[in-house]
Amino acid sequence: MKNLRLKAARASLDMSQQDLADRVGVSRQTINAIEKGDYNPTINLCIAICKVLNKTLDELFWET
Amino acid sequence: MKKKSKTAIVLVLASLAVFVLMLVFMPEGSLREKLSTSVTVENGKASPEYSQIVIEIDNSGEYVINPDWYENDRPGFLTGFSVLDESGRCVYSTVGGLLKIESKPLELAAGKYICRIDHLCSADVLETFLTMHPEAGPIPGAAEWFSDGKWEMTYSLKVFEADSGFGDILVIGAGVVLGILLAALIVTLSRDWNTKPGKYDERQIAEQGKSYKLAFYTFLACATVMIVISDVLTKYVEMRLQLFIVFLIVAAVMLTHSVMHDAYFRMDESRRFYVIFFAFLTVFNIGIGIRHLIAGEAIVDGVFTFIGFANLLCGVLSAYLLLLIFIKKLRDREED
Repeated sequence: MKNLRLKAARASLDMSQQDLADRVGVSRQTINAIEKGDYNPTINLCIAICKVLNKTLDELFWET
Repeated sequence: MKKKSKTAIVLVLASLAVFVLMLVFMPEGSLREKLSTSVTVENGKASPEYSQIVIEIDNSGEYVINPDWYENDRPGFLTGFSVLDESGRCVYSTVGGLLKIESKPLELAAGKYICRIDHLCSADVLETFLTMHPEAGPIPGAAEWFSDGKWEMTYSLKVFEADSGFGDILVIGAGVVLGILLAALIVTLSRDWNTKPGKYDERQIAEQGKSYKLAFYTFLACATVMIVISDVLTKYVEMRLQLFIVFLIVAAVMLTHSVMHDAYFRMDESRRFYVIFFAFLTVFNIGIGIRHLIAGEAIVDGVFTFIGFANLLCGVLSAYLLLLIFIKKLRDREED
């Protein structure tokens, strides 16, 4: 399932996939894969992304 | 001095040291000669009656002589092969229609030797040859060979030291070490050490795991096929070549999954550097492979040889890797 909330949060801070990837220490393709729903990140990476985007885990990754 | 430069210098010096080691232990006295000639047999007479190659042995010692005149087209004569020293004494002789043979180790003094190739086109000529070289005969069914016609013959001759086995192992071992050192040098040069340490991220590591799993299943499948058909296949393809093909298939499966899922290159690696390196590897290996094909080493006695095809297949694999990188780049561009 696509993670549109992550994409929206990133776009709202005017960050590219590469910018976010550099900040959390992964490749651009990994951010792309998370946004497309092709890859489920580990909790460590989720936390790192949340910190960079000033969001909570629930806001970005919790699925109801 | 930067750490990258220091590491690169150490690797270059180590590579040079190993290269020198290879030269020191390279077996001496190994030589190859080739002779192409057109032989016409008319009314039981061959023209020319014989051909010859002169070889020069630099150092006295034990040598193995390996004449080879395997042709796809069976000629209408038998070939008598003899090696004469400078005084005209015969040191080795053999006779056959189409054959690839290796002599027992022969004690040869330094000097020139004439390798004479007689075209034995009738029973009388054969008998004369066997009278002079009784150790070469007898030849059962010789009469079936004699017929009129014209044939393009290619004779090849290899002479190498009989005790070069240990030297060969050292040279091959040094070659492997040299390859590892050069690979380490390439990794060092391709990394950007000023920004962040070269590493794979968690998704890349997970994808690599899938690549290895796929490669393992591929290996099991190939091994199963080999067990079933190896007996038949060995008649046409050398066992070493069969195993090498399996190795290449497994590597190709792993490369395909890794490259297409961005798990082949580290995050900070320069792809351009690798593309140049693999392009060089492709050209280099295919060039050597074509040379083997032209030299007729690819198929010996109707069997596909490892020596003849190893480089060509390596070239094909590196070309395939380049193609994968190119396709992945196009797909990434579309996604962007």
